[in-house]
Amino acid sequence: MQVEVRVTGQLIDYFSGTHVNLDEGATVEQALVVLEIPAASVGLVSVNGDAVPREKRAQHGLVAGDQMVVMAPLTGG
Amino acid sequence: MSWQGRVLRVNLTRGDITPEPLNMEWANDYIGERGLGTKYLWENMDPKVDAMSPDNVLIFATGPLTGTNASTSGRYAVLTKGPLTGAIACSNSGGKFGAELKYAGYDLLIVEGSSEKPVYLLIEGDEISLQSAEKIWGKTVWEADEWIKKQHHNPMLKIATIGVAGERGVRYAAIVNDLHRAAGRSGVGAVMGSKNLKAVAVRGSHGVQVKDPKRFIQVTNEMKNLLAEDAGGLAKYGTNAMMDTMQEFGALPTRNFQEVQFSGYDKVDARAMLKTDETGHRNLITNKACFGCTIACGRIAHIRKDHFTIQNRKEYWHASGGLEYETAFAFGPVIGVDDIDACTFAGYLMNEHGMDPISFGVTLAAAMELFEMGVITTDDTDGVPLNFGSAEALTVMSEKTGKQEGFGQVLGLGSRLMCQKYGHPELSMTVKGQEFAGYDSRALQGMGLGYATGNRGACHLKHDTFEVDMDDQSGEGKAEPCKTSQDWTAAVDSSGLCVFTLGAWGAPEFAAQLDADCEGEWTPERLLESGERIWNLERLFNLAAGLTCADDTLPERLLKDPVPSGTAKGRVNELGKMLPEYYSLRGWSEQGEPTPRTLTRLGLG
Repeated sequence: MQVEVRVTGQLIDYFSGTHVNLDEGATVEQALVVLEIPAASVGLVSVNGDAVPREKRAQHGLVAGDQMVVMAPLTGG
Repeated sequence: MSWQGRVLRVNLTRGDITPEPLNMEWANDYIGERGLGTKYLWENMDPKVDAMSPDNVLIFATGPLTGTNASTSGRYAVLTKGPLTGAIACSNSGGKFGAELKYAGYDLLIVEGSSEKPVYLLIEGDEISLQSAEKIWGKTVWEADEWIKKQHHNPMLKIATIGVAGERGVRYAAIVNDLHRAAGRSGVGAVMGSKNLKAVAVRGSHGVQVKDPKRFIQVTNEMKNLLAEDAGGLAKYGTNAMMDTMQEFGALPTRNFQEVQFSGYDKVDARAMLKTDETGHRNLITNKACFGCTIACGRIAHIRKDHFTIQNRKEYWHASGGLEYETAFAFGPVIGVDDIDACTFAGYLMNEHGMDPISFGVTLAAAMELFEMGVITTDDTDGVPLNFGSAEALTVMSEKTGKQEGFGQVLGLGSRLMCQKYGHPELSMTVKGQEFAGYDSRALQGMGLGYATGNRGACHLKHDTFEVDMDDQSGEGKAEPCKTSQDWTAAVDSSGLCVFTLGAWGAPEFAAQLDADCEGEWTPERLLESGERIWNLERLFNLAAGLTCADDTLPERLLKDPVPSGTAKGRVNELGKMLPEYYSLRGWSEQGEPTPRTLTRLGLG
């Protein structure tokens, strides 16, 4: 299945595309592995605008057409 | 030890310049920079005095690691009573000035009184004098810097100066050092101006000594390696890399905090700065480091020569300080502007005239809301329509405020006084009179608690709850990380190093560097306790100045109007739930006053 992906901040160094192909039923955690974005470098993932907390990444299943945003951590500026 | 052991006291009323020994007992308890400066402020002035009176005291403070081989060791702080807030002001800066003050042989510079005529302080080696500044009074930061260097035939002078904004009492006037770096917040530049002190120019001839040079080199090199592994892309993208994260998260204050997402964000973010346009122009030229820094997050940028702001103004055709996240937010989303060249030009003007971009941008945002409500009209604003989204309004008003002309004099009051003047205090997005940085506290609850309890008013740099706020958008469990990070940040701010190291370094890493640097044993526990002592002393200053728990609050908009979009859609800030828990964790009464037991525990009784 295909999922739309946007990444923010410096995470663009890991992924600069717009979509990723995943196995049916893949979770957010598995998607991050496919995208080769280290989990520790991620501040928050949202799917279709809803936050997916860190502890739920392994359970949250994706479906085709989902919009996933992988956000860099905030650090202050 | 890396304290120089000396303080320079300058009384401008009498014209006295007096070196004195550093109080080492205080240095051991308050470390340096922010903490030690706070202790000296507390012991040297009555917090009740008018911030703009000669009785206010202005302190430039370095830390024990300032000017050493440690990475990011260029930091110094300016402490005083702030005219924007009536609270303690503690504003720190990078660049090279802080290290140079240390090399002149002083840990702190204490400025008292007020000069009858404009002066600047010149420290050239061991020669120290007050010089007439009458020829540069009324000049910009950039003009004053150049004039002083030429006057003394010394291009190596490091200069901290004010512009006209500081001379004329803009309540968020900054002290700008090394042309582009600033002790920006809370109006420290206005206090300097009230003393008729235009600048401090320093060239040092001493080194610094550390306790254990061999271990110090080893430890600081290890720390640099850690930073190199985890600097979070700051060198490549700068802090403005956060803009698109804030947008997606839904915490990007837009149009005076009426919204939290801005459709034009991608025209002013870090990627936009890196983009080459159809004419071959790219906003960002390079990055730049402060003294001793191995991160180099600073931005050097330039503006398209055909842009309306500088089309016939060749004096701005040069490269200068570029957008960081806070300036991009303050000249972009919060006023609805998506013109990167206009934003960059406004940034130039802030440095040139010596103003805090955050307070200016958020004050202009409130003025724009007043304008769109019809409360003020072009009759009030010198004929300039102050609509959200107007790049012309941004740049014209930046210049008018910097020069204190026309409506710029109203904007120079800051958001709180301006909104009170027009009968709409609810539109002021401030805490204790200081404007918010670029984070909406309905989406970032711990940030809201940190803003509300900030000793210098709304501030994003004195605590760090970003990780817990991103992971959980409720107010649950935010009091403890807010309190602990406030204490920890107070210790870091007192060391002479930069908070941008915190992604790579924790308490053990800071303690290891201080322990190799300073006499005595420096442990993470000692640092945290020192930080808590510093936070509580700042609180005591504010209570003595007349602030109360009623000042620990947020604007109604953030407490009552649900956030309209983003991942936290529908939430308001839960301050009412978090604040009692915070006071309890601090060992404070329900009125927000440190209990006798807390004061005794921290040696403040």
